[in-house]
Formats: sequence, C-alpha cells, structure tokens
Amino acid sequence: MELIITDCVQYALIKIIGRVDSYTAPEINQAIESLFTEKQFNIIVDMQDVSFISSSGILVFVNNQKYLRQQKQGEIAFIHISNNLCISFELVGFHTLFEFYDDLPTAAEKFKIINQ
Amino acid sequence: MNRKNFPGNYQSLALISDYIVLLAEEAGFTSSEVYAIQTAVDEACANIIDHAYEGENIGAILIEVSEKKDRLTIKLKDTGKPFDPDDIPPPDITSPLEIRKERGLGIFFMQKLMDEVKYDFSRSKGNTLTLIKYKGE
Repeated sequence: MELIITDCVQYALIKIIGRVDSYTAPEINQAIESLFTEKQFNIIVDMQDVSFISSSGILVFVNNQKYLRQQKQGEIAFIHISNNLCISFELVGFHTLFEFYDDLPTAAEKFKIINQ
Repeated sequence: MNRKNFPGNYQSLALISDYIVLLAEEAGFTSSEVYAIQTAVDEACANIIDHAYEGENIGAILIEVSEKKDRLTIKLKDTGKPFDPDDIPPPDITSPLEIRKERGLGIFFMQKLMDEVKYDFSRSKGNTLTLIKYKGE
C-alpha cells in the first residue's frame, strides 16, 4: 500500500493506493494522527485506487471520526469510493457517519464552506 | 481440492486474498460475490491471528478450497486456542457513534457475506472454520 498526502491548507488529501487491511491500517492511522498533530482536522480520503478494505481499515476511519466529533472540529470525508467498498461501510452501518463525494472539487467545496 | 499453507501474520492477508480471489473467479462467481468471499476470508484470517494465536507468527493458517457445481467451500484451519465465532456477541451497528463499541465486526461480515459459517474444534486438529458460498444467490 502507498499513501500520498497533500496538505491543501483548508483540507488534507490522503490518496490511498492498494489494500486496507490489518497489515496496512496502522500506517493510515499514523498518517491521520500526524495530520491532527499538525492541526489539520479536515481530511479528504481518495479511495479510487483502493482495491479492498477490511473491518480493521474501516475502524481506523470510524475511530478518528469519533475523535473529531468529540473535539467538535474537522471531519473525514471520502471521494471516489467503489460500490464494493461502499457496501462494506453500509453492512456495518458506518456509511451514515461519513460524507461520500464523487470528486475532489465537490468535497473541497464543502470544506471551504465549513471553514468560512 | 486446493490447499495452501500461509504464515499466521498480517503480511499473509494480501497473499491469501490473491489466492482466494483467483479460485473464486475460476469458480464463476460475479465480481461482487468474489469481493464478498475475499472480505469474509480476510476477516476470518485476521481473527485467527488476533484471537486464536493472539499475535503474529505464532502458527500457520491452512486454507482448503473445494468447488462443487453449486458452491465454494473454504476451510480455514489453525492450531491456536479454541475460538468459536458464535461466542462473540453481535456488534452494535445502530447506536450513536459516540457510545458505540466496535467489536465483533469481522464475524458480522463473515455471517452477512457467506451463506454458511461453521466452526469446529478438536484437541488434535485445532480450529476449523468452514465458509460456504452458493452460486447465484
């Protein structure tokens, strides 16, 4: 798995390439926590090149979203999520906890509005 | 029947997925069915490492895959401590995020995505988890 992280001031974009499972999920968690340390709490995750996500991967996003809600700041949102991945989120009821956008400009617009 | 042994560690999960996806595709399952089988097997193997072996590189995971006209049967065998998925309470997937305890998701995935999930333990052979997916359901 590979992570490409771009900090765009109003939000950070994390592009994940490969599988998200028990082996790779800790690396994603570490990347999100590093962004939080740098006071970046608005995160867009690009799932276009993610071939698979397991429950351990889903929990990384759920637990960090939970942290943001407790802190009352920021949000994690997804773009380019495939049907298969979406079904995994839906099966365990976590699809309601996140915003899913078709593309980056639409997601970025949302964070611009939040930050205004 | 196809049979393959994998080291019981998280790095094996990608290799196990490749192995299962190939066999499920060859058996004629649709892409969403293949993804469902891949997810169930990944969750089962992660549970073996986490709960039966309670850590990585303690023991191996033996996977046996057999195909019949109407189904694919996947047996996952380990020599860890007894781990019956039925003993794990179902996850809470409806409470508000703030109070929800996220446990048992892997087993929930297995039960939702496969048609049959069976567990067996013997002192001599260890744990055997059997996952069955029927074609065209």
